[in-house]
Amino acid sequence: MPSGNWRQGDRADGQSEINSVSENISPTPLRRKIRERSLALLIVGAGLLMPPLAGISLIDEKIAGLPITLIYIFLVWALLIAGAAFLAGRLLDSNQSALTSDRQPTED
Amino acid sequence: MLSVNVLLAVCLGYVAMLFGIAFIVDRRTRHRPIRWLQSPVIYTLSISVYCTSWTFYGAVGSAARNGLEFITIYLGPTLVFVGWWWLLRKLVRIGRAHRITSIADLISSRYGKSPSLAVIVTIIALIATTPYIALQLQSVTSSYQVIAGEVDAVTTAFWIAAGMAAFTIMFGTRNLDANERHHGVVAAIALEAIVKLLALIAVGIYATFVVSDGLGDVFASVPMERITGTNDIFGARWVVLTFLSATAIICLPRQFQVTVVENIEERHLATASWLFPLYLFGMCLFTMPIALTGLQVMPEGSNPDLFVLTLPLAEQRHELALLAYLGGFSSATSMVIVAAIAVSTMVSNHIVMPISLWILSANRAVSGDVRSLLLISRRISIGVILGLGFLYFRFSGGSDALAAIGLIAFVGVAQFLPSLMGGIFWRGATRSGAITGLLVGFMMWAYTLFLPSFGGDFVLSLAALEHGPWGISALRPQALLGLTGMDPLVHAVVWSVGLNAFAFVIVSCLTDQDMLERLQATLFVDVYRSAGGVPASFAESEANSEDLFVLAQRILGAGPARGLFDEMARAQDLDSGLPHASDDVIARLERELAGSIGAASAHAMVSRIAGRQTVGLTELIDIADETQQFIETSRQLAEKSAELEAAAQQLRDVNERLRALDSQKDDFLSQVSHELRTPMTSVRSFTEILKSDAGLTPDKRERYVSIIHDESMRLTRLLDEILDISRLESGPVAFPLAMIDLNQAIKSALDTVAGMTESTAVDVKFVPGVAQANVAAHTDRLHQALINVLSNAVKYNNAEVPEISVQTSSAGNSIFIDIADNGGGVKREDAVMVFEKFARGHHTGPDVGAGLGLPISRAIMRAMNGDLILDYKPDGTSFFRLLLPLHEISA
Repeated sequence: MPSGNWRQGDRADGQSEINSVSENISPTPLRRKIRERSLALLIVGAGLLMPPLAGISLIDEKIAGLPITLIYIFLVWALLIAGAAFLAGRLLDSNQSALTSDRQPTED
Repeated sequence: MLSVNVLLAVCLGYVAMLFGIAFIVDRRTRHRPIRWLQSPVIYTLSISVYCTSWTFYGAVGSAARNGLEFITIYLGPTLVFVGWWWLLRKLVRIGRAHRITSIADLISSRYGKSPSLAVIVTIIALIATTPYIALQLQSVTSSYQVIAGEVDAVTTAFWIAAGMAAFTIMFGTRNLDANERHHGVVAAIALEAIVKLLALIAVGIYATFVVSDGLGDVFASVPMERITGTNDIFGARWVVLTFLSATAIICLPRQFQVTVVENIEERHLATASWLFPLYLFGMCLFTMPIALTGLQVMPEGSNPDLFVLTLPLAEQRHELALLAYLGGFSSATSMVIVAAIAVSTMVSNHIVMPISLWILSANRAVSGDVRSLLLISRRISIGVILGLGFLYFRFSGGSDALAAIGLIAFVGVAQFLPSLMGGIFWRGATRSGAITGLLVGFMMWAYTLFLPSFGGDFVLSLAALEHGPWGISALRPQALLGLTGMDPLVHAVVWSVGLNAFAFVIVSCLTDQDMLERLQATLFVDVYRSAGGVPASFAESEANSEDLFVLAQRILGAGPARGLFDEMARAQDLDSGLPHASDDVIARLERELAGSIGAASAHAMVSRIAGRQTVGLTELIDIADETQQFIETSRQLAEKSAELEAAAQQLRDVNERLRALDSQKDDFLSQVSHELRTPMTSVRSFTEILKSDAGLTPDKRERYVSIIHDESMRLTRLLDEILDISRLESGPVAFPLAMIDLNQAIKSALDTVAGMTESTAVDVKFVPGVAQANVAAHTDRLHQALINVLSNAVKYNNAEVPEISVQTSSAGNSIFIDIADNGGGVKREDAVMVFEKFARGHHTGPDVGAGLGLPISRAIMRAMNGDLILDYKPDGTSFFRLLLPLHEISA
């Protein structure tokens, strides 16, 4: 850990720094799990939307009047959005303190 | 037909409303932030400036021509936002920590605040934005033509460009924000985002459910080729387009502006990570149905790029057409405003600013207001940007499909990607690498994509396009080195981005970083680890506060500069006046200025006054942190192991002591047994004699009985002593204490001892140091303790004539009774042992006690709040000292 005495910054800065240090050095298993899930979502999503996997949807058939290719792309897309929405809050919670905010009253 | 006057009136009213919103928000935000405007939803809506008229009109056109391919333009950004944790979060964190104002600022700042890099990025951004602006002009012009009928496209486009320039100047450069944030503009484009989404969905619903009979009807007679295009849809082009759109959402100057620069809270990204893809999803939902319905309903040869507008018009739904027009207008204006603001910021910060600095330094007499210079240069830049867009529109013929023009811009800004990603993830990336990569990529882009887009009208002739310049076919722009059979776009991406990344990596590996560059590299790559560039530099500074204040006034304006300097003065505990130009102040000022004019210019300006390199001690420490962490960790480990060592040593000592105590206990037991056994044995043997030998003389019998009596008395005394000490040691014993005269007590004890030692002549000296001392004690117990010590002094004395000296003295609240003798004394190594039970010293004589005297005496003294210790005189002879708390002295 960086020694606190060396820094001239205020307490809050030092604190957030310690948090961010701990964020990078030792994410708890739960936090790491959530991050891994977000990465997995990205990789799976990209894989399904890119060739060659996306080619599996090239079937000249329709379901409920809609072409399968169209349904496939929009379905994967929707699932990606749902997954992102599901993970967004959890990722935030996983290191709340490390996220910075600008909402401090300014002097001028 | 929709009247042109109505259209113009509605558009002007709409623009006036947007301007009003921006104005009000700006004014109110200056006093106090408006809560709901700082919500993640507004942030997300402002990011949707990504959806320009290319999306609004062009996506339908693209869907009509190439089927589902249009969707790649939205899949790329979706993937980037879904993976926000890994890239966008870092960009935003860096942007906030280093007060980044644009993508040029980010790249130049990362590579050692390099002005030349900033210029290169700015120029590329300017040129790459040009086709994109032209695209907006074209779409607004075409949509206007649809309603107004045959008007001259070039004239219309010119007036639209002029109007947009005026609009943007009014919007974006009314003032300079210290953080380069535009709350008013953000509010306006958020509103525009809602308008364009609603308009597109309204047209989509109308086309699907009114013109056609539901989704089933739309797709009923559509062949597979309409959906998948004529070529292999999931091929190289699909991947390249997704890659380009993913790149664009990061690298487009306007996207960088809204996503990174205008970001108020990092956590807003979390909401945008799903809300923005959802917005894109909504924008794309009806693209296919509109395109397919248009193809069925509209006459052959009508421009599919305008289906969104022409479909309602053809069905005589004028209010819907007006809404669609407003949607398209919103898409175009929001893009133009943000792009022009972003690029003009870059131009004024990275090109105009350095030049004016140079002029200022060449001619010190000129002391213009940098602030107004900045504003003017931004306004001119906006005019130039729209002028270039107009020229591109004019020369490229304005006939290309919207999507094709947009993609040219995408590939152009994709040249930033290697330097950007390398910059924030690879510490070893160097300035030379970035410059080389950018220049190579830019030239390849211009040659293979940008110049050919003019169709032979600009620089490259038609012949050069088809057969290569000077007829060298290997140099054909769209089949470089004979690389044919590829889509021109894929070809351009492979050559430009590929060579760019290649050159970037190779040159980075071959060149070194200078000091500032290495510092910035570490700060950027390890942004989560450092607290940001916080002050405290070590370098010498000869800055003058006055000069710095003048500089700050010029750039930040008088009020904010005053506020900043007052704050810094307060931090230095000054009541009035300017702060001393300490390193903190200089570094802080540079950071504040960087928020307005970019890191490179701020660095150059402050360095010019302060005359030094601003390398903060904290920043150096940040670099050193990694090493320092290891050092610290190993130091802690060393400490811990030393502590453990000490603890182990203590344990060993305690164990040793326990062993000693254990063996003492064993000794004690065997001593007790022995001590008890000796008198018991004589009692038993004399009893047996008395019992068995009837013929003993009365004399002898008398003697034996008296021996038995003496031995049993000794036994009793021994048992009493053992009981006594175990009682004294087992816990606090309360004696009734009374005030007694100490000297009297000592004399009485000496008398008793004299009686005991009649056989040997003992020379006893008593020197009362205090004439009259009253102590709180138990008379008998004190007597017992004194006798024990005194008789000890006699018993263990080997001298011819034993001498005992007793001396009393007082110090502080204690009174001492020192008892010394002329016998050998107690050796220092035996000092602890003499107080152990049954310890008798080395020279055991015939008449020795059980060895319980001293322990009992000490226990007694302690029970009377005093103590018994063994002490040494300066000459090394030992003496016993009895302490008692003093109550009263009468001298």
